Amino acid sequence: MARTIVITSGKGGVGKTTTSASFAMGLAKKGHKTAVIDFDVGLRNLDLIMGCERRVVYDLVNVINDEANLNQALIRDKRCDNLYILPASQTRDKDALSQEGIGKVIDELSKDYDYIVCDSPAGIEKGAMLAMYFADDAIIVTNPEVSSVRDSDRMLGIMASKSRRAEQNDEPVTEYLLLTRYDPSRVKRGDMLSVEDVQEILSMDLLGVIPESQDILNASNSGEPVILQEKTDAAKAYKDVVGRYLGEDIPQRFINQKGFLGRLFGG
Amino acid sequence: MQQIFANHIRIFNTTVTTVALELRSGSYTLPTLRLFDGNLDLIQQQLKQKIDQAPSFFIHSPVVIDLQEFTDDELDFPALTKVISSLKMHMIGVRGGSPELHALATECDLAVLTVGAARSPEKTSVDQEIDTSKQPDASNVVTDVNDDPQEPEQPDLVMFTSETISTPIRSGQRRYTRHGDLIALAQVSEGAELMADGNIHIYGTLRGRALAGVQGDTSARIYCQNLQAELVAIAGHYQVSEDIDDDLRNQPVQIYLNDQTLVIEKL
Repeated sequence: MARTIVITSGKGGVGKTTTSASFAMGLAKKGHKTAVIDFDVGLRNLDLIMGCERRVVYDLVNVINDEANLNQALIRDKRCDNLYILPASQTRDKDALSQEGIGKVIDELSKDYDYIVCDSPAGIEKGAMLAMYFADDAIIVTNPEVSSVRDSDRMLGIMASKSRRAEQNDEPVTEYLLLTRYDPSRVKRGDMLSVEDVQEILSMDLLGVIPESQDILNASNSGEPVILQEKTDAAKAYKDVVGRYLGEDIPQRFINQKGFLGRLFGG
Repeated sequence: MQQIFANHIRIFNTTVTTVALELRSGSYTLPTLRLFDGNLDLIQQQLKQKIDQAPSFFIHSPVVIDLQEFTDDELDFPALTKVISSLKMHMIGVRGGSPELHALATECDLAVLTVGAARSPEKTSVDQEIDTSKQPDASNVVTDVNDDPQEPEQPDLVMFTSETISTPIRSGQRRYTRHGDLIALAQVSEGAELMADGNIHIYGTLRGRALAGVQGDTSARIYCQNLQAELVAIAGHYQVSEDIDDDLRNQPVQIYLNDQTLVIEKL
């Protein structure tokens, strides 16, 4: 039985797709068979970040409408054999998704895969609701600023009442907080909420902090999940996140500003 | 609001020894709609305005139509039923008004409820047995809640129920405890709303809204461990965040009404 993880936030532009790509790649690199599904029907992006946009034939909506079977639509990643991508449809809108259809896709993937990563669209409309509905775990991607934090809080509330686990009175969805685009120097100047502030407002455990970095933009542009650019801080941070999710005890880093020596030696 | 009493009656099937069913007495508080005019468009429009102020109060709520102030002898009950159900409420009966109106209501399968005077237990047929010990001995209580929350008449007999919520109450969530206290063990996020007919206790940080005594109980109080509220109110007397003294912020406080004035006091 696979574990289904939704990457969600409420707010747009906080790093959901970047996180989905790197997190799924990280799980696959650790030897777990992983599928990552793009739920952003109409605004397909995950294929670009994963660098498989030129190999998309069928998509999620085709599978739901029985126009293609799951194996025809899944794209195997060229860099890691354990990773498969199920792209969204660019020519349709979110109404093409149905709870029943998504349920079928997740059930079928559950048989062969260890992890199913669902990349949620922004907002709290149909696409986002369906992306989180079947989740066992949720990674809440939050930027250290008030509107992102409030939207995350709203999303947590929706998940607590509208997910399948909530509706069936099962154990609640396990929630993890991931702070992205974090800049310790701006926190120090008081321009940005600190890790403690965000944790205090959301009262959640911290899965990790991803530092703001130009490397992420470059990686996205070149179609490579940033976790593969091993020398960058962002890759190290995402590796930590995957390790912690899998139960490893890894201390938090990238929370404080590097000192002079730290910058010299890249520690 | 109107109280209804039903007698506690057991019905035995004379030929079979097993008890097929049991009728028990119950007392319910129902929203009562006092009609002054039979213009359905006006009713629809004005009722919708009322409901929009607190949609979750009224959704799927039963409603009694009070015809005491209604002077006409005719009212289009089928059309009125449609108007009420289009607003997601269920019309279950009428009270007051002329016998002609009662006849029309009965034709539409609506119950006619008695007004005011004490109700004597009705004689029942031989195969029914009345459990006299369970009969309400008080006179039938009929009270109305005024639209103005400042001058309410409290129902004489209501079931007191309190509610405890142990998970955080997130942005966008609303909780309402009818006839009792609401106890929140975790935080109340910005954009969340707590309402109770009685007191509200919050053992975490209050960042959202808390409204105690919403049916007009001026003795209701709010207690919280850490006050960062957007709005607090007791029996309709409210204060928004901007008006709350800086000394009281982030403090444990109690909030009560003292002669129409809202008092916030450190604990």
